[in-house]
Amino acid sequence: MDWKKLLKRDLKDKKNKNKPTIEHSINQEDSATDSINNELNHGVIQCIEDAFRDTDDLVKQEIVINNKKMTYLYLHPLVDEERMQQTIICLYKEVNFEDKVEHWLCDENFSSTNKLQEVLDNLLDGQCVITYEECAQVFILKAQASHFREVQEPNNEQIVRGSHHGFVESLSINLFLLRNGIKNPNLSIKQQTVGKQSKTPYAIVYMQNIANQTLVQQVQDEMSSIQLDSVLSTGMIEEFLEDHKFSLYPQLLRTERIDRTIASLMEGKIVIILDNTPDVLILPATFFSFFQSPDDYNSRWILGSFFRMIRILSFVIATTLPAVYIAVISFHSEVIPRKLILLAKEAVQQIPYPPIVEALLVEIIIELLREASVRLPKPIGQTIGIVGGLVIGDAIVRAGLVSNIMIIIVALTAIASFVIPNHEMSASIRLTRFPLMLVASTLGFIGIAFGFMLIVIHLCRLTSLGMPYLSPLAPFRWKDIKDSFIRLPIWTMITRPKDALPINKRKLSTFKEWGDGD
Amino acid sequence: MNNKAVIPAYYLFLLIVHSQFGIGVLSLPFDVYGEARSDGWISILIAGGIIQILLLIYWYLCSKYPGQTLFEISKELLGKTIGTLINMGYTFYFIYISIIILILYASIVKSWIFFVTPKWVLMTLLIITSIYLVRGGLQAIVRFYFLMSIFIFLTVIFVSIAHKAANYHYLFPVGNSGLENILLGSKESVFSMLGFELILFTYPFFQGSDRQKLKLSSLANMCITLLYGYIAITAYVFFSHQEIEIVPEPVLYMMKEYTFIVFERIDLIFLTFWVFLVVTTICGYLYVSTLGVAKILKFRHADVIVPYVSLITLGVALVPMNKLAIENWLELLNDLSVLFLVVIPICLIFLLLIKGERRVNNE
Repeated sequence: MDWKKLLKRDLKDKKNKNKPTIEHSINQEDSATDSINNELNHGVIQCIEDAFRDTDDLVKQEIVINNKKMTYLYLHPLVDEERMQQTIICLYKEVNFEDKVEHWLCDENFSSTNKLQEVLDNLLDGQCVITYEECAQVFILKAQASHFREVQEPNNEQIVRGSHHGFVESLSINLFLLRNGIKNPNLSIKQQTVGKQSKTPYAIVYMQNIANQTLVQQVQDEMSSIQLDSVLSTGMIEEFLEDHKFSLYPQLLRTERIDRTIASLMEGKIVIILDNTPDVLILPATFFSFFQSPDDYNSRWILGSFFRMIRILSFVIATTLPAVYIAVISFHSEVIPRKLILLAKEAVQQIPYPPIVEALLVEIIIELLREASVRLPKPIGQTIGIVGGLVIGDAIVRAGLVSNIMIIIVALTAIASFVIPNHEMSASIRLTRFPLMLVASTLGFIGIAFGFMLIVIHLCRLTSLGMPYLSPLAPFRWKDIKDSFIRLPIWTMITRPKDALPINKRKLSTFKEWGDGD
Repeated sequence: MNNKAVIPAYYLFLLIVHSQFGIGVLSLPFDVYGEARSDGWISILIAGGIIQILLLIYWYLCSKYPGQTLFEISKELLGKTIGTLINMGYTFYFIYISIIILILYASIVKSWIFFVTPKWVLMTLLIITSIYLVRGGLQAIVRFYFLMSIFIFLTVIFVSIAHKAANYHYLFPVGNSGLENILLGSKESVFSMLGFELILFTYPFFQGSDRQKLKLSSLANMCITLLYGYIAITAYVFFSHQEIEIVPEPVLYMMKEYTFIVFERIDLIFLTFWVFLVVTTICGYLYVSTLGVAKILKFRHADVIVPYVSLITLGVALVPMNKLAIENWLELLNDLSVLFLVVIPICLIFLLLIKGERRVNNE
């Protein structure tokens, strides 16, 4: 029998489909239907074996209970076999005394179905499929194995204070973590699968009473329109959801932090969690959200604001510092004061290359070191740091290839680019400075001005899920400045940011609320 | 056809401020000094008053035709043929202003920073940046203007430092040049304060009531007038009478004078900031010219023709010109400005009043 054809057909004929309950099938004493059922049961097994004919991990076992054959099938890598066997032995023992097997099969460990597609899906989910002679239903025993790592602090988003929990690879654990954080029925979770072949489950999570339904709908539509064969990580979905696909800058926020995700949900943003990846996607994102860290909220607000400003400063340094230095050295040496100019002259005089070549050389060395140390095991990574940072840095100056001021500038730039808490944004910013260096070396300050303007215009034009990227600066939203490049005290944050167009705009009603009886 | 109001009203303020404040700021004190001597600042204040009157006229015209720009109003008042002719006139006028901005910008950058860099490189850079901005539409333009406002503040700070070495006696006696010269100076300074006319073509794109828009545009004009007046006064108290006659860009010379511990030559840094302000000025004009071209050629999406209009501007600006030719172009700009900013709007107002009376009589 061709299982694909059967897929289109329900296991039961349409008359019985109206009442597919177990009670119904228990009450069926008619032998004629029984024989049909048996045939169908046999068909189901045949279909499953057909669908998995090319793989060896499908296990099929048969036992006889009450003189009736019971068959169970499962994919052994996905199933916790011990748990499954226990349940079945238990069943076997008890059922011998009673007559109604079906009664036992409505235990909490079981569910039943009569759709072949569901049966196949459940098998792939790690459930065990059980058929029983004379019974029209197929039973599913929950016996998923879970081999996931423990919930731990994400390595790439560490903080000083606050929760040290991070998402893991399992969707269900991640959803548990979210539900655990927001104990509110308004937390909506919409589960679907993406990837034609891989059928990777994902969940769209949002606060039903805060998030804007049009945005939610838009995300759902875009997600269901993805026609990839397989989806391996959120990075792949990200490329489909971005408004400006050729932009250098990340338009969706990726995070592994639970507190951050919850805070975003509370702002009315939408979160996409994909199975098998610990990082979730938050959208819409704004430029300034890439410069935020949960630490800002956990420290005192003046400190929090200071950290924010340091990060924005680091953005400016990381993009423009080498460019400004190149421009000054090659065009505008008048700008630096007289005392410094002697120093600079001494350092640069003996260097055979123009500043742009010097800068590119050191920048490339730093990028090489960074890329090398990311992939290497930790003990060797430290060696790379010493060899690269100390040996090359020192030797290259002594050899007279690069001036020591240039080393200072590039090192400062590298540090500044690592200050940015988000990895994607940090990488984008590192890349931004290369074109700026090139225009600086050809047109000096004017070149930097135009390069910088193009970047700012680009950021002004960017949108994330249709929402302006540079908000709250462009468009200017006075009320949202409180949580952008500064962080005002929590109790001043009365309204939610307008970025995600939340339905429910107020966060706090009053400063503090006192009970009536006190 | 109604234009959609999508942009918050306060951006109208920014649009006018940025269009007015730009290329002229470097040489304004010098230009006005030629006519009104050290009473130039009075001329600037008077010019602000004149512009205020013009703004009122424009506002009246726009508020009578809600949801329409001058490109549509002219057709409605004068019929299709004459209306289209007027629209073409305005479009050419704006392209003309853009060309002049390009030429002046390139000549200043050439004489202050890059003596040997070819003009076309500087102009092409400016035009590429402008194309990218203008293609984003008015919304992107005003958002960008907002971010660039910081450079206006920086300008004020940079200029203010000159008061360290000021001699306030240079201003006195006030009113010595005579009313006629002061008025001539006003005429001169109005041309440095162009940009307020963009309200005619962008009025319906801004949200808010008519009163609010009038308030905002008047406020913008007031700010610019005071700012220019302040810059002029600073230049007059910094330079003596003999000096200012020989410095064509007094604002830059002023900054060249003083040094800091961290920066030696802040005029170069200021010139970099000034480039930002030039972009904000030219983009307003390019945007309105593309709107005009789109109206005349009946394009539905104006952003498609932005590169063409900009490239034409660039092409004309690249025609080699000597100082005299540039002078002639500026003279022509003055005459054209009188025609397009004063004569035509006033004619339209009269037509509107006559038609309005007729309408009342018919009813």
